[in-house]
Amino acid sequence: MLSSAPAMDGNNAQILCKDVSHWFFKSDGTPIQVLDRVSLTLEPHSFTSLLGPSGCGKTTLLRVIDGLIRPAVGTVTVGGEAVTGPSANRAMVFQEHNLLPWKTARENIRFGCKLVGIPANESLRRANEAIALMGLNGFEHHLPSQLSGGMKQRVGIARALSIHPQFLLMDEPFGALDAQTREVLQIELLKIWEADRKTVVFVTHSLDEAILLSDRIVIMGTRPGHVKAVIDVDLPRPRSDDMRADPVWTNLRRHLWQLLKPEMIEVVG
Amino acid sequence: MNAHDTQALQAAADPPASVRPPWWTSGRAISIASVIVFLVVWQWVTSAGYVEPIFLASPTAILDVAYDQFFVSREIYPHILVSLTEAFVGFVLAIVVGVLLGLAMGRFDRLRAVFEPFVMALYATPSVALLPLFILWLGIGLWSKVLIVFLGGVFAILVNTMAGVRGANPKLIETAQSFTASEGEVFAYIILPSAMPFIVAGIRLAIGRVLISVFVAELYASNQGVGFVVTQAAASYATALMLMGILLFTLAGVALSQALTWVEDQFLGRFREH
Repeated sequence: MLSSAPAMDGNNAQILCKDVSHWFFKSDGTPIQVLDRVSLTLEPHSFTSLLGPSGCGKTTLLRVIDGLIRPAVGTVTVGGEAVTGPSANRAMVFQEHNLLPWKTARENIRFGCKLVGIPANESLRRANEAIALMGLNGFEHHLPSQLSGGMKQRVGIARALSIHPQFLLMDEPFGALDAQTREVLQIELLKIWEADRKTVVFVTHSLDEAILLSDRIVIMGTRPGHVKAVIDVDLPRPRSDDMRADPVWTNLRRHLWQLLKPEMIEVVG
Repeated sequence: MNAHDTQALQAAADPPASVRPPWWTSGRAISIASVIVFLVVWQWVTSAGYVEPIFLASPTAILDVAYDQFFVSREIYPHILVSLTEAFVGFVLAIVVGVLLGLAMGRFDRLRAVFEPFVMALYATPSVALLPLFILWLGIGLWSKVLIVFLGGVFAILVNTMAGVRGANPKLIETAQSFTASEGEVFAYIILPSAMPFIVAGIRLAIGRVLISVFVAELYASNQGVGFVVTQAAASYATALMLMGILLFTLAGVALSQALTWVEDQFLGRFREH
């Protein structure tokens, strides 16, 4: 199998953020700090969730790791190389799926491959592979407007997977889905990830989603966005939905909520 | 998992014939009937002598004149050729310049800042008001008319194209960039397809303006062209010939508009907004 990934060992699949700070500018020119000295080490082949209230900078941090945003201060190193822009070894899955409305499901999947320079026959093979993996058979020729929210996000994930990235960056991919679809896709993502263990960074609002999927949860606080705590999830793999009743799960959930609650109250209040 | 979705996409059973609306209530049938009634009333009013032929020629009189012009005297062809040349050259220039400049101005804010005051001023000015100036510059031949046609059409296309470019979904642009797209790839794969419906809408808007420009330019100063024929006919009270000339403009407008719809349906259906 053709693969862009070199031997994935040691720090090759590590993500390192060092003292990352970033500011946005309001339309009147006032700066707002969105990230404040964020330092993080994400282990190779681990699944890390960034958890926090709206405005904690988790989405910005994900874009910094992808290279879509160059941080004002600090450095990000992915797989041993300093990030200067987006790269074919990282793939992003977006909350609102971001499919091109004039391309069919399969064309959308192949679009990502085309942009990173994968030849046409190989991209066709990969797209078909991803279609089968994501349960999209029979929908390849549908336009996004003909697909349900869950199906669109399946296409979004397939598009990211088919460039065979070493790193998968997911920006609240299930945030806009209904509860049932969300649970189905969580379990599917879990299976796919446990099969080949890419290094994943997963942004979410949901405590249970973070616990179910992650090896490690990074809790972020607001004003400006900073890392508040990093917590390991001590649940065995393979994970399953049934673990929700496990005392480890319930204790962890309580602990996470205690950490998040003051932040949430600040945001809401 | 997907069985329900698949079912919904398949056609359901045909409804019983009794619940179908009768054919004569369809929009198309009513439109055709409406036109026929209009023509019959027109013919009746004019041929029964309620209206002087000088004020309004009957449909059959117009057909007679058209037959003479197209098949007997064959005098109309050079005029059609002149008008078509003016319209074609001006329109093509308007499309090329309007689309290219609109794309550039939509994408580059500073370029837009440079050109926007002029574009807005000229878009607001009725372009035919500039005709005396252009005749002074270029004479009453082809090029003053081409310039007027060009100016009449270009801004509708330019402004629409610009709006289309600026309306391109920034999330799709970010997505392409995340998959390492260059600025050129973003333009070709995201911005241009997003702007496509707007470009077509601009061209459609320009059709009417182009025809007005041709007509007014020939009316104002010329010695050939369909607009000139209409003017001459009116001056000599040849009402049927005048109406035939006007109908030629109508036909040109309808034909262009239909051609654009055809192109849209054939090639651009997917780019419509979803």
